[in-house]
Amino acid sequence: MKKEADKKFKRRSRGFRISLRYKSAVPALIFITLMLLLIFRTTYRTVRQIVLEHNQERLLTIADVFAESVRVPLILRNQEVLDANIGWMAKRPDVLGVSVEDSAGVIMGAASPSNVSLATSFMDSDFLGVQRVTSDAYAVAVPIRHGDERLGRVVIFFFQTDIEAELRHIFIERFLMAFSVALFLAFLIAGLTWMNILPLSKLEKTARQILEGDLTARVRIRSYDEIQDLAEAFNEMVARLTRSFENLRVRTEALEESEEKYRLIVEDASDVIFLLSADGEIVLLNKGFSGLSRDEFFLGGLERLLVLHTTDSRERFQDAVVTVVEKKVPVTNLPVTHMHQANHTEVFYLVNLTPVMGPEKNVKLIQVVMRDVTELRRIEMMKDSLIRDVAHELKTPTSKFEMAVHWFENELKTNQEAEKYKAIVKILKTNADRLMRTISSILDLTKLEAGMQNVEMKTLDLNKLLIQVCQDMGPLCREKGIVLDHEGAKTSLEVRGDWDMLYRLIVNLIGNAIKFTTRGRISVRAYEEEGCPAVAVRDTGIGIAQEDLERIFERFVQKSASSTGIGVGLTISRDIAALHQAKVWAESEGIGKGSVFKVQFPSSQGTGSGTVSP
Amino acid sequence: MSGEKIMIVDDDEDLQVLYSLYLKGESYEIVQALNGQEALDLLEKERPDLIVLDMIMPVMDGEEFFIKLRAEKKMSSIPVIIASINEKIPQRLFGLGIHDILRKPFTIDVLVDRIRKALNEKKG
Repeated sequence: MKKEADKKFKRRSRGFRISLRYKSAVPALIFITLMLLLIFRTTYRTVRQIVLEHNQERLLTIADVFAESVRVPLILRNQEVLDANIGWMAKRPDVLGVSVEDSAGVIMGAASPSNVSLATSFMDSDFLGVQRVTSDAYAVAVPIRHGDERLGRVVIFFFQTDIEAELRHIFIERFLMAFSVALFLAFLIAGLTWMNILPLSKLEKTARQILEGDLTARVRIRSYDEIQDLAEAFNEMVARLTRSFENLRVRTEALEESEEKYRLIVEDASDVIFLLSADGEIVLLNKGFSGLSRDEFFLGGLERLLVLHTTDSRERFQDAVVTVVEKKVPVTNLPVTHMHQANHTEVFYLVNLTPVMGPEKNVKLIQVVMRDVTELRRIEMMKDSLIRDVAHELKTPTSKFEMAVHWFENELKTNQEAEKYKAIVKILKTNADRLMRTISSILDLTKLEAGMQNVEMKTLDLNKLLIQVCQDMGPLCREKGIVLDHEGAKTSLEVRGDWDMLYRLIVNLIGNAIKFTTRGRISVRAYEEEGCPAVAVRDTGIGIAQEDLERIFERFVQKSASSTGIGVGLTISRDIAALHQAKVWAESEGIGKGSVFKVQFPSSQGTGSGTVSP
Repeated sequence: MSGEKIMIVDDDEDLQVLYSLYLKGESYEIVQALNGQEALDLLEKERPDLIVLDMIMPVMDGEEFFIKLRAEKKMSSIPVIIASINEKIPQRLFGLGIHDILRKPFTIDVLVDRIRKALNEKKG
């Protein structure tokens, strides 16, 4: 990260730059140069004007003097003097040619010492004045007057070194000198600026040092100007930033340490822990499970997780998620089964789902903790199967034992001499019955705990079931002097369920009624209530206290210590009912007032494969 | 009502004794067979009115016996109560007319009850 920032910084520094040195020197130079140009140009123009005018005056004066000198010879028509005068004039070094014309324009005398071809335009006799003919020749024409009479004209061609060029030359020379001075000044400014900003590069170097991580670097500048102020402010800023940075580092370290601690707790946990987001993403998973890696879960999300479940587990899990989100309450100890993706074996988990609330009191995340209970379950199943096997093995001999005792009891009833055995046979019989019931209960429980595997759901008639149960329970009731009534519904009452299990459910309810009824009546009734088939078992027994109405369905709860059985009959009934989505509950007016046990099945909408009876 | 002959086909000798004791007490005549083969051998001679049949037996099991029994014309209408410890009864037996099924172990009262019922139905 840091190197990246450095690179960026360096890359940026390679961009377009103008040194401060030139930032003032170059504009100054340009400005001065332009000013110089302007001044020189206007001065040149003025000077040229003056020089040229002055020169023309001079030439005219010379011409006038010459005209005066040829006036007399011209009046006197003295050609000799005239020619002498012209010759004298032509000898002047700056004269190219001289001609004297009379008033008619006839040339009275002329001389051209240099081979300069004279411009013919000046042959016009009317022209007077000064005219520049070529770059270095001027023609001057002046009249020759005698009083008011114009005798003629004098034309002199003067040779003049190019004053203008010379002037220009002088000015350019001067300008260049001035420009050199300006250039020198510019360099001087640049140099001075450079000296002034030299401390800035020191500042920059320090800044870079700091950027590279040396937080102790400080800049020391003694320039006694704004840069020194800047450097001092800079140092102070760095110091303050360093302190803040140090603070931050310490805090970050503490935070990291704490985070590490919690991370370790989560990561090293033997349970699978993860968070499920509202849109089905898996965030924070401590390890892979069920044969998949962490990454596969992060990629696949909830979908990937659900696919692992067996069908009914998946429904359970989804229902639990819905419960957590909607009711905002945790779901604990949810048993789910996964198919291990590598071993293709079943993996069993107990899952706790806890809502993690967001700021708006909504469920932001769901924390899921899954405990692998496969081994535990294996042991439990071993234990269950051991119990089942033992109970099973005990059942046949016990039933024989029971039958034999029963026979004995019957025999003794008719044998008057055997009065002395009666008590002992009664003990034998009571305990044989008890043993048998215990074994049956254990078998029922283990079967129920094994789940629905052996359950055959079929459509069956409750009336027929009750007839069968009452028929089988009849003898036991008669023996205790209890009247067993059966009142069937007028129409057939169809429910979906397993015949044997429902049989056991009702038998247990009646058995329970028998257990707590010494004399009186047990009535079993099938009926329909609000479209739901139901069964009620009413007894005139000891009744149930209000606070026990729920508790009696719990395992190993007995109403009295002297009761026979192990207290699982009602538990079994409740479990069977649950397997059939039915409810079972007890009602009682109180102790001594009898009780009613009711079973209510879900309303029978589906029709099954037909009525089954054994 | 009494005097009907009931054949008990069961390899459990204890049960044979117990069933006999009770059923004799109810004035039934009892024929005992310890396996299917024995029962088949006795059929012609004894001509029982009802058979209580165990399923799992040595030599010849209940299933085989039942099929052979139903194959004989004269015996095909004898009511059979299957008394089995097994939860599942082979499906093909249902088509051959099982009168009743008792899951072992059962109380003797239930057995007597069912026998009486079966015989009454036969008469009726």
